[in-house]
Parts: sequence; structure tokens; C-alpha cells
Amino acid sequence: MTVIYVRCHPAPIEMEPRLLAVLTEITPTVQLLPRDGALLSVGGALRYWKRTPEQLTDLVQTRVLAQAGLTTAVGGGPTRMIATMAVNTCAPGQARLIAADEALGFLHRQAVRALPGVGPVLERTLGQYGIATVGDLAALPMGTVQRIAGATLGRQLHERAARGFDPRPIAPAALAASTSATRRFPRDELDPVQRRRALLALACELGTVLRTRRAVAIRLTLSVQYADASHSTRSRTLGEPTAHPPVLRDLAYQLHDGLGLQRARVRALTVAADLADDRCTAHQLTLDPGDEQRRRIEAVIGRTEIRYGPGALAPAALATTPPAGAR
Amino acid sequence: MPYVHLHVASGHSARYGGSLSSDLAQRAAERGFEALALTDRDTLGGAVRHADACAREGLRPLFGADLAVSAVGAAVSAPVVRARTPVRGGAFVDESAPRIVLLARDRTGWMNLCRIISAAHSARAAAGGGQLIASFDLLQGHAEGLTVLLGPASEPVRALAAGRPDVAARLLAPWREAFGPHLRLEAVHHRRTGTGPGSLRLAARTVGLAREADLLCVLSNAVRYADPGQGPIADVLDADRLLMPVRPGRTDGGERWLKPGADMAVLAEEIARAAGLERGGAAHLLATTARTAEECRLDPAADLGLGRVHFPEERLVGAAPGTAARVLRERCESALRERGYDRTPAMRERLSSELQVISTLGWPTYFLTVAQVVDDTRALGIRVQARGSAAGSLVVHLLGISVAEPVSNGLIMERFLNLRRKSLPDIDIDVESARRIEVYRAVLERFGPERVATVSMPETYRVRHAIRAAGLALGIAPDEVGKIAKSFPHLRARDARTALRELPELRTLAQHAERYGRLWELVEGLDGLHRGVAMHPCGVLLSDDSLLQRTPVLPTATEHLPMSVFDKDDVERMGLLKLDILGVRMQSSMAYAVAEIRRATGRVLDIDDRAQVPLEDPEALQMLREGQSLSVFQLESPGARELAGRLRPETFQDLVTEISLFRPGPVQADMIRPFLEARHGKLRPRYPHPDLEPALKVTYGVVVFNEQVIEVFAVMTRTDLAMGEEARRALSDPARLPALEAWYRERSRQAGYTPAVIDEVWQLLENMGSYGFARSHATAFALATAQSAYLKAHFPAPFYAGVLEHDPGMYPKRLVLGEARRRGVPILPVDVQHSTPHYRVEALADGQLGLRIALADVHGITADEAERIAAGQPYADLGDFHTRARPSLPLAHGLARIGALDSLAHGAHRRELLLQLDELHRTRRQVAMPAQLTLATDAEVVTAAGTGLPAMSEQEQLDAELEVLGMDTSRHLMASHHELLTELGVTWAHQLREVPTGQTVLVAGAKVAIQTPPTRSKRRTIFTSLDDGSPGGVVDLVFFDDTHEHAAHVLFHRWLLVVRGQVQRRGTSISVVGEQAWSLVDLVQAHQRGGPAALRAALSDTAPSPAAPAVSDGDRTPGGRLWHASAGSAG
Repeated sequence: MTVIYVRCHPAPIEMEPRLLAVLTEITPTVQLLPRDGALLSVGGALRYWKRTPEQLTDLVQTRVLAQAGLTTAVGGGPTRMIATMAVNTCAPGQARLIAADEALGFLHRQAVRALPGVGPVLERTLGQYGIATVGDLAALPMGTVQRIAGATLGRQLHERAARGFDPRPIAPAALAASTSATRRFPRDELDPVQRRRALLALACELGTVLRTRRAVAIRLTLSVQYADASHSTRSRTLGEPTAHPPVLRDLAYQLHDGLGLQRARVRALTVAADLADDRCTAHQLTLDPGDEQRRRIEAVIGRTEIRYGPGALAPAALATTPPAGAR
Repeated sequence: MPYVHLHVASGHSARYGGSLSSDLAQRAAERGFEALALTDRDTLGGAVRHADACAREGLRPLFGADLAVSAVGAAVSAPVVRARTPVRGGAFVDESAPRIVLLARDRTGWMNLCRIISAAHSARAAAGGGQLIASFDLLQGHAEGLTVLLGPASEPVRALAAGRPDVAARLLAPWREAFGPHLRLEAVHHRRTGTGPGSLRLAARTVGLAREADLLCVLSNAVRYADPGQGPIADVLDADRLLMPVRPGRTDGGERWLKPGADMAVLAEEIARAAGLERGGAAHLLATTARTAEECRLDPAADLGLGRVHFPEERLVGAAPGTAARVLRERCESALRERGYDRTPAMRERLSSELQVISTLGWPTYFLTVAQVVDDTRALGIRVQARGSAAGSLVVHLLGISVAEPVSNGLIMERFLNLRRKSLPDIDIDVESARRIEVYRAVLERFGPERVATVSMPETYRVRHAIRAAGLALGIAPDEVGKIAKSFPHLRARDARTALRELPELRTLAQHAERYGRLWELVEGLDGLHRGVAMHPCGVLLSDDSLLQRTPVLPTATEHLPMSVFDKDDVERMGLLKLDILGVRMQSSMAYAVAEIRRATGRVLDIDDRAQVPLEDPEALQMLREGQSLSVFQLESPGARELAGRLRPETFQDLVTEISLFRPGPVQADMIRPFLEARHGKLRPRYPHPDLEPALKVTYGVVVFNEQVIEVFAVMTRTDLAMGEEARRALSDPARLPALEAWYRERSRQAGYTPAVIDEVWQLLENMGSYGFARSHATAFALATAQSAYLKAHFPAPFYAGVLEHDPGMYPKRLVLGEARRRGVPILPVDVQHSTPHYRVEALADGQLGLRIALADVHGITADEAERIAAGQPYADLGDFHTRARPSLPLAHGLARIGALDSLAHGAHRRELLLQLDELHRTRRQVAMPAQLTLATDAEVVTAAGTGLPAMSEQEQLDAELEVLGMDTSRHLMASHHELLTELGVTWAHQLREVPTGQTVLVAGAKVAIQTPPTRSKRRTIFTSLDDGSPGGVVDLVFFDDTHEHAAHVLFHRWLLVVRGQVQRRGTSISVVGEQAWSLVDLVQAHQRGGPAALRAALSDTAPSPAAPAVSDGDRTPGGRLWHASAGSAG
């Protein structure tokens, strides 16, 4: 066993630094998965700590609980894929470790959806062909899998299924690929004004996250969820990668107006941003004084939030009326 | 003068009005009004009910309509930008057109109102949809006799609300020109804030504008409902009309009720004060309103034509004016001679007496009209037959309308028409259901659209629609709303909470009913309100050319036939002649079967010819005696089968009697037992008096038919049959019963009968009450029964093809197919090389006729695709099929999964075909020109060998068939559960014969019908039938109400059932009285998961756990209906 997956219930963003600190003490190769937990590569750590996998797992769970206050479920296996499948079978507080010799059998018993690379559409297609478990997929010849899923994906899936071959590394300190923020409405929201207000709040929230992580957004994706549990998604790449909330807000408005919703019963709005490191981005200066001032205000907002907490300074449109009796 | 409400919308305004006109009239009378207007939104359909309700309450009715008109002036607001189509959720419902109220002052006004509405509907149909708008030119041309009210929704007052009194004054000019002194402004005060419609400010400004422009202003309340608390109902209706949830802040406000005069006076004061007219302003407003109401003097009887019948002109039915009676006589006499009846004096006498009655009552034109319609129908080659009591008239028979000869069948005329009945007799005709619209068009062509219209049928809120409307208005998630709605049976909306309390199958839902808050009271409040209007599938109206002056017509949605806005009851009140043309699917099925016989074997069979198709065919009757009456007309329900088993029909007359006995009345009055005992010779038929023997002989002394009641009355009281018919009608009216009894006793005493006989006969007649069936009606039905039974017995494959094509019966198609398979008809599955869009009979190599399943039953196939597939046959291989037939991908998948492509597979199994289809589809999509044949298809389609895909198991194939076709075609679906059921010790249907009465058995099968008919004891009883695939056919089950607690949920919501109960016998028919029911799927899953131990646990788990979600099998697969559910008739 060389990989363990630590899943925290719940996984708030503000706990991430503490969690990272605790896990890095155990092994240096830790990859944080935002809002979920972390992946650890423990091949070396087992030798360093001179413990069995079960003992090491106990150590991880105890330390995380003691130092970060989070209950965790842990899954372990020879590859990242197996570790993920293992942790999906656990309740919080439990651990499931798969040894190398039973890994293939365990893998073949899983539903085909659990295989990385298989989404809901491919799952449905495979279901039509009578492929329900990973073992069924492994039994097919590679040519057939390629015919079903395409040449590259087919080969990858077949390798993963038949041999459990998953070469994806644990990349420590890799920045999360994306982040997202959601607003849910208590009732069906048909008023475009309220929806735009929600998008403004999401843009501000994303701005805060980007600032904290020292990242910039390359691409925004707007996902609108409706009362009948369906959703629409629109995304667009930003002209220049940025973490500036007004730019994010304008793009979010554009994406929203592009849907042209009139009678849709919107229940939730989600904005997701694909991230990049802010050290490798540039910002085009303009002669517009307004733009300069807005960026300065943004810096002020950032410092205020550090001192007084999130939401200390926010656009006026997001201010709600104070409750009756409050001054 | 007292106040009159001038702007009132009743429940007839679809998705707008919150109270029915009877409630409105009642409240108006209680609140002291003397007159009430009805101005429904976009329709005049409520006029007749309004007139009747007002007459009952002693009010004077006013009539009008609330219509949208085209904008007259230049747009005050910004030009309309065409909004982009929304990605989800749909565009806003457009209600932007300005609206006005028109009141009819006299007959001309009514006529103009009808014309305006009809023209607006035609304009909308021509434009292809959108709002119903009457153009201003149309109003200008038809302004005579109408008073117009311009209220807050009209253009000038909207300009006022936008703060432009100058524009408002300008926009009034065209209205003034068109309507002159009959123009009124309408002030409405709903206590809203701001300056929008219903606010005090706008009302005051309206009054001010009227004063400046020298116009009169009336006060109205724009009423939508009768009582103050009904505001939420109006919100739900708005939400349903505009397709949006109720938004807080934009609700109705609860002020739009029928306010009493005192409240209206208070509102008038407030408006006057706000307009600066404190002295006398309010009085002026109220007086103008009252005077406007005074001017509208429309008398329902004189001006709307209520109460008189208008026949089409005689020249249209082949008679010169005034000669209708003579033409009728000549035609009947020549028919008499042709058929050779004129040698019988009885016939000639009967004919002349009938003709005399017809002439006296003034109806020759009517009979000639119906005869013309029937002749036109026959000329099109459509099967047509009279139904109902009309079959008792010799004139109707001689005109060719009915097929059965009345005298030899013992039918009398008086049940149908006699001198004492002044109302028009109903001649109803049955035609082939598939060609019904052709018949309507033929009638339209013959009489012209100015004389013919179809009848409308209002769609009202029943419980499922009410739940959907109220649930979506409250913002509950659509899936949840759908689930709740589907779990209710088809009840009235006002019974929703009662059903939750009482029906055991709703127990789980009732437990968390509190979660939905106001939903249930809103659902009950929507009861009976109109959602929309549809064409009534049975009638046409015929009139003289004044039709369009008395009723508005609108084109129906799909067939574009002109339809009157009145429904079938209102139409009769208006004196419009209604001819019921009912489409009967069995007639279509029989016609189809005959056509298939001809196509497959070349034999021409005329089923109306007694020589070819006798009415008393021994094999057909034997089949009915054995209970094999599935798909036979009128006899396929479980109760009818049981009765046939006891009655054991041997003659045509037995069929007539059976059809009459199988009604709720005779069951409840226990008439069947004495009849059967006499029929089978266990008792001698007993007549109360020898005089009654001729009448009662045919039914062995038991009174069964209406005609017999008539004859008994006539004999006992020494009067004619017409009086007997009157007496029969009085028998079912509790108010007239005492007078009837007195008269009967007096007359029969005078006639000399003994008191004992008088009493006995009275007892018989009183028990009949309203029961009893018309023999003529039953004879007409029995004809079709005998014909369908003959076809079923002698030509099974074509018969089943006809039944499957038109689906006339109550049972799902899979049961019909199962019976065909059991009788040895080879079932040929769907095959793209051979199947057509319709069911076909194919001659096989060994000379048998096989039944080929149609492409039309494949889920999701369009008519075009089916035609393309059929046109392109034969196909060389899969690529050829894909290129030439161009099926959509889901359709191609469906066809592959049910094996329709197996003949093109060349060795590949069905899953491999799916793979090939996916690749072909991808290739086709990449090709630029779809019509171009790609030569690459051969290279792309890799040979089947070696894909390694698992083949479909038999169970998976069966599931695919059920999903795609709704039928288990390859084998019976119960066959896969044989092992488990044998282990449980289930008794199959054919083994039940050997089980003694009272023994407990276990039966299983797929539910094909479930009914809860009214029974004698008034307690709810569930009748259900299970199809277990055995040679014995269907097992009938009865569940009495002591078992409903634990069994009802499973019975109603699951499809495959296992039932434990006791065997009971009545005559030769066997049924099982159920005590416990399980879902077979649950037992199978338990057995698979945990073996026999888990199976035992599932069997002992009797009560549905409250925590478990209400699991329910849908009563449809995508492929079709799986079982029949209804209230049903008693058996």
C-alpha cells in the first residue's frame, strides 16, 4: 500500500492550512483536494515511521482529530484509484486498507462508474452494453473498449480496469485546479435582479478565495440549477487571467444573460473558476483612473478582511435591510 | 337605484375565474343584488348557466365578455425588442395586449359579440397562435348593441397610469367615434398602493379623465371570485396561466370578490374624495353604473333562443320547402317494399302510426337530416350503426340508420318517441372511431360551416391537475409534485383531503401531508374550475343558418373543425340540434379485421350479412360460455365474464339480456338470480297475471327491459304505450312517485285486477326504479357482440390484428397478445425487414396466418420514421438500413434491443448491433451531406466476431421488450419467475378448477385491471385480475374492505403480485377472495439477496413501513399502458 486518501467530514476551506500542516508532518508528498481532504503518498513514510499501514492510518486519523478537530475517513491502496474507491466505502471515522494482492479483486467488484474517466454518459452507454462492474469491463478485449469509448480513453480505461494500472502521481503543493462558490435560493427565483445580486456575491467570494490562495482565474463556469434538478452550464475564458472581482462579476453577468432565462425556476447558482498561479500572470495597465481606483479598493478590502473577518467590506448591493428593532 | 356588478368573471374563464356562476348568483342574491353581469375572459361559454342560475335566484342576468384588443395608438413605451429564446424554462406568457369589457344590450349586441369572438379566434388560428386579440377594426364594424367599458387594462387608462393624461385623451378618440354614447370608463379600486391597476390613485385619475373628457364613468370591482377569502385561489390560477410560481409581493390581495352594495358605496366615496369630487361624486358614479346596467336588456328566452329548436333548411336534405313529411313517407314506403315487409299488415300499421306521430310533432326534417348524414357516411365506406333507443323505431330502420329490424326483435317505438314527449328524441350513431373526423367533415361539407359546429367540453380541475397547479404555484419541486399527483386516483379535486384520510393506499402520503402546508386547501378550492376547452368527442350541432349569430365558434386545436363554446348540456338549452356521432373502436377493429382478411386471403367478408356472419354461431357462443370473452364487445370485464359463465348464452336474445343485466341496478336489486333460475329451468317462469305473459315471456317472467316496464304499465292501467313511457320516467323520479302510485292503483282497480295482483306488480315495478335497460340499446350492442365473437372464433389472427391496432378494450395490449399466443396464433416479432406501421396478418409457409407486430408500437417512433422504414424494405445489411431509413439513435437502440434488427445482424448479437449502430451514427454525423452514401461503411463495421460483449440474457431481452413495446412478445413475462413461484406453491389459473371451494390458495401474476365499483353494501371492494400466463387465462380476485389496510397499497401501486386467498365459485366461474398481497418483485429481490431466509422475512413483513418511501410501479412503461384502473361497473 502506497497511497492513502484522507477525507474530512466536513471540509471547510479555512481548515486547509491546518490540515496541510498536520499531514505534512507525516509525509511530505501531500496533495490537498479542496473541500474534500487530501491524498498522501506514504511509501517512504511507512519506512520512516517504522509502522504497519494500519498503525500509520491510526496515526493520521488521531493527529488530524486532535490538531485540526476533523473526523476523517481513510482509504488506502497501491494506487490512487484504489485508495479513492476504498475511501468511498467508508463512513467517517473508519478506515479501509486494500493490500496489493487483493487490489485487483476489489477493483473488479466496483461499479464501472467508480473508474476515473467514466462519467454519467459513459456509464449509461456501458450499462446498455451490459457492463455494470469494472470486472465486466476488464473482461472485454481492448479493441471493443476503444470502439465504445474512443481510442485514447478506451486504452486508458482498459489498462486501469484490467491491470489496475494508474500512473497518476501525487503532486504535492499542487494548486487545486478549480474552485467554486454556490448560492442557493430558498424558493424558486424568477427575479433577474435577485439572481444578479447573487452573482455579485459569488464574484466577491471568489475574489476572496483567489486572493487567499494567491491565484488567478483563467476561465469562469456558470452553472444554474433548476427546480426540476436539471442544470445549464455556460463557461468562457477570461480575456486576461485575473482575480479582480468586478471583472469576474461582469463575466458572470454576461454568462447569465446569455442564457436568456425568463420563466426558469432557478434554485441555485454556482460559479466555478479554473485557477492558475498568480506569479505567472500579467495585468494590462490602462489609462482609466477608475480601473486604478477599483484595484486599490480591492487591496483595501483584502486587508480589512484579514483584520476584521470576511464580509467586513462589501458592495452596497449586497447589504440586506437590518432586522426590525436593530439600529 | 341599487348597485350592479358589471365586470364579473366566473369559473368558465379558463384559469382565471375562481367561482362557478351558480355560486356567484347565489351570493349575489344573498347580498341583495337585483341583477348580475357575467363577463368571462375571452369566452361566452358561461352564458347559459348564468342565465339559469339567475333565473333560479331571481336575478336579472346581463351578458358580456372581457376581451383583448389590438393597440390603437402609437406605442407609448419603447419599441418591442424581440427577446432571445430562453435556454430553459420557457418564455413568458404574453399577456401584454390591452383588455376591455363589452356588454350586450340587446339581441344585435349578442350577435355582434358572437361574431367578434369567432373572428378573433379565426385570426389567431390564421396567425398560428399567440394571444386572442380582437382587432379594433373588427370592433368598429360590430359595435351596434354593445356598451364598452375601458378599465385599468385598456390603453387609455394605461397611459393615465404612466402619467400621460394627454396621450390618454388622444387614445379615447377612436373609441368615442366607434361607440358614441355607449362608451364608459371603468374605475376599479382594490386598495392597492402606487399608481398601477386597482390603486386608488388610478381610479381617481380615471374619474377625473372622464369628467374632463365629458364621458361617463362606472365603478366596478373586476370580480374574480365570490367570497373574500378566495384570493389565494386567484393566485394559483394566475400561476397556472402564466406558468410561474406565485411571487410574494405580486399577489392578488383578496379584494376582487363580489362586494355588497354598501362596500361598493364606501369605495365610491374614497375614489370621489381622492378625485376632489367630495360632493356628489360618489353618487354620480353609482348612478351611472346602475343606469348602464338598466340599458342592458337581454332576455334569455327571446333573444338567445333558449328553449326552441332550429332545424336545417329542408332543401339541404332533399325536400322542397314544406314537403318534408311527404318525402319521408315516400322514402319509408319504398324501403318497406324493397325489403319485402309490405306484405305484413303489422308492419304497415306500425309504419303509419310512427309517421303520424313524427308529423304531428313536427320532426320529419330531423329524421331526414340524420338519414342524410348516415347516407353520406356509408358513401365513404365507414361502418355506421344507430345506438340507443332509436333502434326501436321502424322509421329509423327503414331509413337505413339502424340495422336490427324492430318488430321481429320485439322493440317498441314509444321508448324513443311518442306524443307525450315534447323534447327532441336523440338519435345517436356509432361510427368507426378511427374515421370519426372524416364523418364530421362530411357533415360540414353537406350543410356548410354556417350551420354546423362541434360541441365543446370544458377541461376542469380534477385532483391530479389541481395538485400540479397548486404545487407548482407554491414552488414545490416538480418531481415531487408529479409523484404526489400520480399517487391519487382520478377523483374530484374537492375530495382530496377525504381521500387522504380514507384511502389506505394513500396512507404513507397522508402521514407527511402536513409538510405541504396550504397545498390541500388550495387543491380543494380549485374544484370544478375550468382549465381550458376541448372538443367533445361525440357530437355535432346542426342548425339553420342562424347558428353563428347565436353562438361563437372557434377552430379546434388539432383538427381545425369549428367548435361552439357551449358544452353539451348548454347546447340543448339553446335549442341547437345535437347529433351524437360516437366513435366506437370496436367498429374500427372489425373493419380492420375484415380488411386484413381480404388482404391476406382474398376473401370478402361482409359482417352485416346474416348468411356469412350468423348471429347465433355455435362456436362463438361456446367460446363465450367458456368465459373466453376477452376483446369481445361489452363482455370482457370480469363481472361480465362471470355473468356469462352463469347465464350460459345460447341465443342472440341471451346476449341482449346479458348486456342488459350487467348493470349496477340489476346487481343491486338482485334481479339476476331469479332470472337465471328460471332460465335454466330450475323454476317455472311465474307471471303475476296471464295478461302480462306476452310482455315478460322473453325474460322468463323477470322485468329486465325498460320496454317491459312500459308494456306492464300499459296493460295494467289499460292505457297506451306512450302513457306507459311517461309512467316509466315518473318511476325514477322520487317527487312524482306517490302521484304515479295513486294513479296506477286507481286505474288497475278499475281494470278489474285483484288487490293481490296489483300489489305484486307494483312491488316489481317499484324495485325496478331507475334500473332497467332499453332493449333497443341492448339489441344494437348485442349485434356488435355477436359479430366480434364470430370474428374471434373463426378468424383469430385478423381479429387480434384489428384489436391490437385500435385497442378497443379495457385491458392492456400485452394481455391480448398473450391470449393470441395461447390460442396458437404465431406471433411474429417486430422486424425491420417485414413489419409495417400497422399490425398485419402474414401467411406462413404452413398455411397458417401469423400476426406481425406493428412498428407503431415501438416507443418513440414517429409516423415518418415508421413510413421510411417500411418504404425502404428489404434491407441488405445494417449499414444499408441506417443510411436509407435514417432512424434516430434512441429508436435504433430500441429496435436493436428488441431484436428487430436480428435479420440484418449476420451473426452478431443485439449488443454488438448497438455498438455498430453507435459507430454508424457517429460516422453519419461527421459526413457533411447526409444524403451521400458513405462507401466507408463496410470498413467501419468490423466483423462481429470477437467484440467480447456479453450477450443479452433472456430476462434482459424481456425487459427490453416491455420497455420498448409495452408487451412481452417473445414469451410470457411470468415464465421467468416459474421456479420461485413453484417453490412457494402457487396455483396456476388452469389448476384452480380442481381446487374445492373455500380452500386457501396462492396465486400470482401481472395485474391487468383493478377496479373499485359501487356494490350493494356500499363498502369499498377492490376487484382485480391477474394474468399468470397459464392456459387458464386470467385469475379474478376480490378484496373486501377488511383487508384493505395492509393490502391496498400493494394492490394499487405494484404491478406483479402474489396473493393468498380462498377460492369461491358462482356458477362455473371461479374467483379468489384475497386476504394478503405481496409484490412479486420484492420477493424475487429478497430471494436473490439473502436466499430462502430473506424470502421468508419478506413474506412475513405484512404492513408497509411508514418510513419507507411510497414505492410505486408506474402504470405505464414508455411503451404503453400496463394495466387498467377505473371505478368500473358492478359485476
